[in-house]
Amino acid sequence: MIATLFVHPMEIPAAQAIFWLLPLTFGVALAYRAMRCEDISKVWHETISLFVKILLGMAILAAGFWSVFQIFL
Amino acid sequence: MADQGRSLFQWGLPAVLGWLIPGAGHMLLGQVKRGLIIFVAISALFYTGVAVGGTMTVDRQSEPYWFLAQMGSGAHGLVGWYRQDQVYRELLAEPGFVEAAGRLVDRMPNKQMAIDARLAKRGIALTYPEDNIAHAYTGVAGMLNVLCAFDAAMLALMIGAKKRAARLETQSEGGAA
Repeated sequence: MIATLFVHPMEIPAAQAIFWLLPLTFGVALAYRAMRCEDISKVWHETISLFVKILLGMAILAAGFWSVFQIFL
Repeated sequence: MADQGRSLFQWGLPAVLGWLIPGAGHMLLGQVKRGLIIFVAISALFYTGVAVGGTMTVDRQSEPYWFLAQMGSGAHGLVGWYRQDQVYRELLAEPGFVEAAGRLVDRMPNKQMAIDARLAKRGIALTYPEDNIAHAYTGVAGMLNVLCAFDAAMLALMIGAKKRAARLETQSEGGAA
């Protein structure tokens, strides 16, 4: 199972691809906060905070682009 | 000259070690917990990408820009490259492959497409949307690791500067006394 997992690509429906952004965003937030956090004991709190901020930022951007497409196209 | 060499070693070693093994630069500087978190985060991102994309995730031939980003993850990227290169070498060694590729060139723009056709036959060709996800995860892991290695180098310089300042202070206090 594990050998197949790292040799053959997974089969992911195109509609589900967007949800793979969530763990990617969490990983980016964790690695960045691990570097930048002054008090390492607060790293999880700050990671979750950054994760939420990135998601909100992406949602706002998506809403903005959607509005532009609705109005102009 | 000796000071310059020592200074290069001082920030160069954490940078190189941090690139090769994610988080190792920070661990070398005594920040073990920080280094471990960086190691887990970057390794998890990279191997999630490889799990999604399989062997052909790190592909120097057909994805050179993603490959550059993936190489930022050091040993993980090198392992991925080695495995991909093994598959390519196996394909090229298959009997009749070169002749088949030659025939395919008439129908396909280049040899890469002939290789892709063989990869598809083996069930390891990377296609949409798995390619996007796999490349995003591994590429982002590589770029983050470069940032971490740079951070380890900067940290090493700061620690070195603090030590020098403390030494100078001690010397001046000794001189005043």
